[in-house]
Amino acid sequence: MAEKIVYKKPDSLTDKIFSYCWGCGHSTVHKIIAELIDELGMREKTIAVAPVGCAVFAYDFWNFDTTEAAHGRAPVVATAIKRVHPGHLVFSYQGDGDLASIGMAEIIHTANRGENLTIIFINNTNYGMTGGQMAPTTLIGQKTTTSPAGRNIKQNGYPIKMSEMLAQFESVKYVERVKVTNAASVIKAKKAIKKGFLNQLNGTGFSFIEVLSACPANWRMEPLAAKAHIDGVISKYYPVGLIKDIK
Amino acid sequence: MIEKIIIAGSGGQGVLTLGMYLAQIASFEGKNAAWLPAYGAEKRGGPSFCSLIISDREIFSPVVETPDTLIVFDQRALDNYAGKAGPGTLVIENSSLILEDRVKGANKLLIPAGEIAGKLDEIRVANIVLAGAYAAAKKIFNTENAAGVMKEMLGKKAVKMMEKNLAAFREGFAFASKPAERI
Amino acid sequence: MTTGKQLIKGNTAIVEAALDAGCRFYAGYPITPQNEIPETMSWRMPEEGGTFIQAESELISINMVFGASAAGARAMTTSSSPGISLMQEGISYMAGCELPAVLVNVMRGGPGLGNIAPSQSDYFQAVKPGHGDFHIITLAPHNISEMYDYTFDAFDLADKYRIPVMILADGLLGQLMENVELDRSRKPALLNAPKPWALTGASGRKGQRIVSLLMQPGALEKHNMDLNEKYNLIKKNETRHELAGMEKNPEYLIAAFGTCARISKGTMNIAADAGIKTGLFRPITLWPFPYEALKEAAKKVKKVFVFEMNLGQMVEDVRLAVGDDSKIEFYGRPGGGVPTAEELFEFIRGKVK
Repeated sequence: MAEKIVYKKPDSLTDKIFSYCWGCGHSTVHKIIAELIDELGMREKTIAVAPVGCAVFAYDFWNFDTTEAAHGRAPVVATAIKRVHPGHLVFSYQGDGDLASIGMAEIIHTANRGENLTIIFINNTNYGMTGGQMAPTTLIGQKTTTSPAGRNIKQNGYPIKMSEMLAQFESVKYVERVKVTNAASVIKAKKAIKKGFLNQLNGTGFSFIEVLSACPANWRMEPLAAKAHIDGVISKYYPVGLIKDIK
Repeated sequence: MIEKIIIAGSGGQGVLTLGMYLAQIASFEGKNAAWLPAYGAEKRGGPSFCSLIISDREIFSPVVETPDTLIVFDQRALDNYAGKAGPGTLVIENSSLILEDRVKGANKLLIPAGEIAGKLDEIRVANIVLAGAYAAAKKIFNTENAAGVMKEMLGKKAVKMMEKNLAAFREGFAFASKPAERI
Repeated sequence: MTTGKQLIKGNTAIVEAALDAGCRFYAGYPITPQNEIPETMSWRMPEEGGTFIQAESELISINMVFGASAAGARAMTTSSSPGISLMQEGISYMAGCELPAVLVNVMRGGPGLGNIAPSQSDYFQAVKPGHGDFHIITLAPHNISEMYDYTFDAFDLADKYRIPVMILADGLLGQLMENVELDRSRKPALLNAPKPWALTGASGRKGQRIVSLLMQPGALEKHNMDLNEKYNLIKKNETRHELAGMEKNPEYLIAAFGTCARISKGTMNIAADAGIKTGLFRPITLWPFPYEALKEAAKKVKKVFVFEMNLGQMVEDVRLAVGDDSKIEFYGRPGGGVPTAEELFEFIRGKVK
């Protein structure tokens, strides 16, 4: 009797088991990206740029070509790769310390140039890999290892809303903020990333998908509580949904 | 032979172009040429300067300390660079823009390049008037080559511009050939 | 033209050399005195079917070059001293990832914003670049022909060893226009050599990666040792220098690179007229530095005069090569000062009386 395959690991994932912390959003987003690349038939024509941060090891899990960029520089590394291989699917995958702090100039100019790229921005409101320091995205009052009394507006200003800011650029075509806290939101996140990839493949231009992602280890929360924190607290400041969509 | 030239004036007068033109003629005639501009804040009206060495031997340092010829376009250039002139330096001055001639010594050529260019109805060719004067004074070039190189440099630009430039060169050459004008 | 010579500016010669060598990706940011390079690239590169991007900072330039090189293209960026400081991060990553690229530093005076006059202020940051334990090849041209030739050669060298190669010029060489006869018939030997390591899409294979992060115990140490093996090979095969005037058995040797070497050739003539015989040792590769050749040449002379347009950077390598400090006399001009041939001769005369 012929086997009927109802589910299998995507070809775009390696056999390596995700090594991220319990409840971390990276594994979920890595997996939906791999599924999408399989679905689009692009595994052999994809080049990804990994950031500095927890997701620097993305290339251990993705079975397509990947490079790593210096901290914050992923969008311009991706720009050059895309210019050299315009027919390939090229994306950068960056955390909030990488993209919103040290890489601010790179992301803004890449967006403003309207590069035909997809940027996946993982916002977990702190520097995960280095041990949970304050990021530009850290919420007001949020305690981190470098804001032990909580983020203070007077000293640190307000958390940066990257999606809303980038949506201001005329050459930015698509911006959506999603979260990965339950099955329904993961399906929505996957749809958004797919749209970002398709925009690139059909030449629409620059797409930016922000994913609110849990960091239970550094938030000092259990995984379920961390996801509930996104639903109940973080998404109040960073509302999920479509921000910009221009054909 | 070795000929070291300093050319000074103001941005927009064609100072750098004059240097490049003389370098092109030298190159055309099989000599070595090394042209070096003063670079910096690119500004119309600001000081403009270049040096040029022409030699039939290898040119080592392209920096000119004491020139064989100093060409100055205006009063400021004269004030700034007169001190560079040595006892053997020929100073060619655009007398149209020089009120007070500070250069002491016998070896100088005053030529109203601005007025001559004005009569040709094209003030922008004053630098080529000075090129003609230089060619007559120093006699290191064949004047036919000077015309040929000019045609090559102007390339596809209007025929009218070519005529004005050739006329400017001739006028400058003729002026400097009259011994009376050499002070 | 009666000769095959053309009048060409140093900065322009670099552009033409890069294009002739098959460079099809350039990213650069404006900074004096190298602006003719991005300006000329902005129209010449598209003519050749390549990509020109005006980057928004030197950090962006170098990281674009990183990406283009990772994708398999021959890529270049150019800048001047302060911009090279910003690029050091990317240079280190490229060294770690073993990515080929050509970098040009048209040096100016420093530190800080310094000035825009010609200087050799960056010998240190060329031969001792960035963070981590690595080297890049550095070539020092001293005339416009070499601005072309060394840039052209740099692309093959970069690909051959998968290493960044820097052309260390200065404001004088960048701005200088000379009539030269360029040999533009050469074909870049390795232009079409396969780059199996490049990221071109995992067609028919597993995904591959270009990374410099090696966290497994011992992995980075092994990587450093592998790099070192490569560096030793480069030292053995690619060390280059020019030695002039030794046939006359000179009593003195001048050691200088780039513009200073060029001026020193004038000094040799002046010295000869005054009855002082000098030879010239000109390192062409600053890394790898030609220690052995200099050591041998220095054995034959009483003194080694080191001339630089800085306050003593290459002189440290000369000391290592010569091994006898009492033989070395240094004269340098910092901050954009360009010595004259006469000035250098006066220094020699003062020391040999």
